[in-house]
Amino acid sequence: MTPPAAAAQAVRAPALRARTVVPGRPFRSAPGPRRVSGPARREPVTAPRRDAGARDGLVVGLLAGVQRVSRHRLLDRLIRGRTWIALVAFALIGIVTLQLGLLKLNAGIGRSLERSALLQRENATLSIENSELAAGNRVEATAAHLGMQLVAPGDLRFLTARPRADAAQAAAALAAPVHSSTTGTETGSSPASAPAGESGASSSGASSGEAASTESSTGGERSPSSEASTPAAQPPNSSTTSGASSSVASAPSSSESTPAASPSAAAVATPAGQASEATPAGGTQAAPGG
Amino acid sequence: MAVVQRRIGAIFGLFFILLILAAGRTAYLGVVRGSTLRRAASNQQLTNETVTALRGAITDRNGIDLAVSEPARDLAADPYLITDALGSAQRLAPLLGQSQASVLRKLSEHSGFVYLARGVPASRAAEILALKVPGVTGTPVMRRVYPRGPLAAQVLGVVGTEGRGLAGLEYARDATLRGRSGQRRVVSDAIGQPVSITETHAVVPGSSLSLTLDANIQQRTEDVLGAVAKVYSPKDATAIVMDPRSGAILAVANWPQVNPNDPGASPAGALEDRAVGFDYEPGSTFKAVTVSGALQQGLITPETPFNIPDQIQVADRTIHDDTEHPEETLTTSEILARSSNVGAIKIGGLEGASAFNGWVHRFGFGAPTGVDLSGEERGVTLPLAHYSGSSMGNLPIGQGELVTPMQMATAYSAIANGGILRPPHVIGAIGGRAQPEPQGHRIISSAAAAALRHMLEGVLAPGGTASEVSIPGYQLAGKTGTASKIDPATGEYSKSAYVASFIGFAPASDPKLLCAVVVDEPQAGSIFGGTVAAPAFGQIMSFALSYLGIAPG
Repeated sequence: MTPPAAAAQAVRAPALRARTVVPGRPFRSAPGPRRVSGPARREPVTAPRRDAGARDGLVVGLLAGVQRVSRHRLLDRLIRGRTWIALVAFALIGIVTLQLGLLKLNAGIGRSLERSALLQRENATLSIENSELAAGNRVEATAAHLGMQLVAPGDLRFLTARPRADAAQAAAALAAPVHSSTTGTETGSSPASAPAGESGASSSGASSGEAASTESSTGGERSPSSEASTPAAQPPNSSTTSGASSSVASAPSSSESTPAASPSAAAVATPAGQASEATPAGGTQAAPGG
Repeated sequence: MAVVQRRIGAIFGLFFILLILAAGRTAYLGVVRGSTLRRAASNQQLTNETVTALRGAITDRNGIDLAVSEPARDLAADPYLITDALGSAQRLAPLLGQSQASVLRKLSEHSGFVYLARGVPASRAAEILALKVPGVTGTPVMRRVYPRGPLAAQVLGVVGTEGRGLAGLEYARDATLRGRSGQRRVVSDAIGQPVSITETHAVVPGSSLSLTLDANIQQRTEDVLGAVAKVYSPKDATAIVMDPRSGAILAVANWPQVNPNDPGASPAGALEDRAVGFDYEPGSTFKAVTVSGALQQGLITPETPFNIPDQIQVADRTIHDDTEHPEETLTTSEILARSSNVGAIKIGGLEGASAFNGWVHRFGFGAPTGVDLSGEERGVTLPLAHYSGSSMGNLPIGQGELVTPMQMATAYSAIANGGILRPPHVIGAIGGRAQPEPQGHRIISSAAAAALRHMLEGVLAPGGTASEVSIPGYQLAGKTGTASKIDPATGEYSKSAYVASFIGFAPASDPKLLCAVVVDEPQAGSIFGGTVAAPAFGQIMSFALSYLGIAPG
C-alpha cells in the first residue's frame, strides 16, 4: 500500500530542512571519539586479567601503549602539519644516503679483499725470498766473499765467569777517571787507556796474534791490536767467545800495551762493559749460518 | 576553462598510456622473460666464491720458512668455447711454460673442461687471464712452496694438487695445517663492482707449525750426507741430530734428496723418511744396550776383565770377532772400544736371556719412539718365548733384531741424558703455542749412564774403532756399527751388503748434542761404520757444536 503523498512529504521534510539550514557544516550525528581513517574498528576490549606470565602482560601493555600513541593528538597534528613533509623528505634523503653509503662500503670491502689477496701474495713471496736469503750456504758464501771465515770448533774459547772478581774489576774500571780520548793523543799507558783496553783484554789476553778487534769511536774502524790490557779490562760477565784461553783471559796483564795499541786504545775509550763482545783474530769471525 | 580541462585531460591520457606501456613492459620482462633474465642476472651479478684457507706455514726453530703457501690458480679451458685453438695456444703456451703443441692438444680435446695448468702462481695466472682467451678460466687455490728446495723434504713431505698433505708432516698434520675453506656471496653491479659481500661460511686459516729443526744444521747435515754418498755410493743414508736433554730433533737428513717442489721427478720411495722408516740390524751400536743392562744390574764394571778368544761357540753357531787375534783379556771398556763380538756375547750371557730381553724393551726397541713424524716403524724384536739356543749369540751384538735409526738415537740419548729416556719430538709449537716437552722416564741410573758414557769415549780414543774422528777441544763419545744385511736370495747374512753406522754425542761428560749416522750399503771404498759413518758424525758435530755455541768439554 502506497502512503499518501502528503504523508510521504511529511516524512522527508526534516531531512530537507536540515540540509538547507546548515549546508557547509559537516554532519555530526553525535559527539563521540574522533573518526580515524581506515576500516572501522571496534572499541578496544580490555583483555581479561589472566594469570599468564609477565611476558604476555608486557606484550599487551606494549600494544596498548602503541595504540595510545597512535591516537595521541600531538601525533595527529604532526601528521597533518607541514613538519611531516619535512620529516618524510628528510627520511627519504636519509634512506638514499644510507643506500649510497652501503654501496660505497661494499665497494670498499671488495677493494679491501682484492688488496688482502694481493698482500697475501706479496707476503708469501717475501717469505719465500726471506727463507732463500737466510740459507746458510748463501750467507757463508757471502761472508767468505767479504773475507770472513767460519771459526773452527777448536778455535772457540769460552771464558769462565767469576761474578765477584769480574764485578770488582768492572767497578774499578768505572771508577777510573776517563779523560777525553777523542783527540787521539792519549796512549795506552794513560788512565784513559784502562777502559779502552778492556775489549782487547777480555778477549785476547796473551798473544798478540789473538788480539780482538774493537770498534773505534772515531768512525767504526777495526783496530786489530787493541791489547792494552789492564785489570779494569775484564768484563763483568766474560762469557763470550774469544781468541784466548780462559786461563789466559782470567789473568790479564797490564803490561801488554804495545805502541801499536796506543792509537786504537785511545780511540776506544768507552765505559767499562760496553765492549764485552769481542771477536778473535782481527775481527773476521763470521756467525755461522747467519 | 574548457581548453584547460581538455589539456589536463590530454596530459592525463598521455600519462595513462605511458603507465599502461610501462605496465606492459614490466609484465613482459617479469613474466615472459622473467626466468631467463633472472638466470642471467644471477650469473652476471651473483657469485658464490670459495675462499680457500691459507695453509699454515712450517718453520724451523728460528722462524725460517720451510714450507709456505701462496695464492695460485688452477687454469682450465672449455675447448667448446674456443674458436681459434691455434691462435689461443700460441698466446697461452709461453705464459704457461708449456709447448705450443701441448697446449693445442688440450684446447682441441672433445670435452667441455680441460686443465691447462694447476697451481699457477697468482701473478702469472693474472697475466694469462688478462689475455681474455674465451673459455679460459681460473679457480683460486693455494700453492705450496718449499723455499729451501730439498731441505728436510722427507720430514716436511708434500702436498697434492687438491691441497691435501700426501707425505711427511704435511700428511701427518694435515688437519692442523689445512684449515677450513669459506664461502662468500658477492653481488656485483653492472660494471662488476661488488655491491654486496656476504660471508656465508667463515674461512679458518690453517695453523702454522714451528719445528725444532734448525735449518742451518739440517743443511749442513744434508751436505755431509751428500758428500758421504758421493764417496761411498750407498743405497741410501740418513742422519739425525738431536738434543739428548730434551729430545728435540735439530736435523733429520735423508739421502737421496727429493725436491718437494717437484716430487714427481724423484725416484720412487725417495720421499720415505728413513730415519723412522728404515728397519735394519743395528750391529755393534747395539752393544751399548747390552753393556748398559749388565752395568745397571751390577754384573760388570768398566774395569771387569774378560777372557776374549777369537771366536765363541753359542749353541750351533760360531761367532768371530772382526779381526783375528790371539786369546786376550779385555776390560768392559776395551770390549766396547774395540767392538768385540765375543766380549759382548759374554756380557749378554752374564745377563741371561730374560734380563737382556727386558733391557731391549726398556730402551724402547720393538715399539715406536713416539716421535711426531709420519711413517714410523716399530722395528722387530724377538719375543722371549721365541729365543733359541743361539739367540744370545747374536742378539747382544745387534743381530736378529730390527731397529730404526730414530730408535737407536733415542736409546743413546737416554745414555747421554743421565739414564732418562725421553721421546724425541720435532714439533716445537703449533699455531704459536709451544708444545709441552714429552715426559721422560728413567731406564738406567745416572751412575750407570755416566760409566757408559766414559766407556764410549774409548771408541774415539786411540785403539778404538773410530779413533780417527776428533774435534779439537771436545771430548766425543759414541759407538760404531757395521752390520751385515740379510741377503733376500739366500736368507743368509750377505758378504757384500752392510749397514755402516755411528751414534755418538758430545761433550762426553755433559752431552748436549747427539748425532746418529746410518749409511745403507756403502758400495765403494769402505763398509765400516768407523770409516764411513764416523767421519760424517765428526763433520756434522764439528759444525753443530760451534754453531750452537756449546762449550768444549
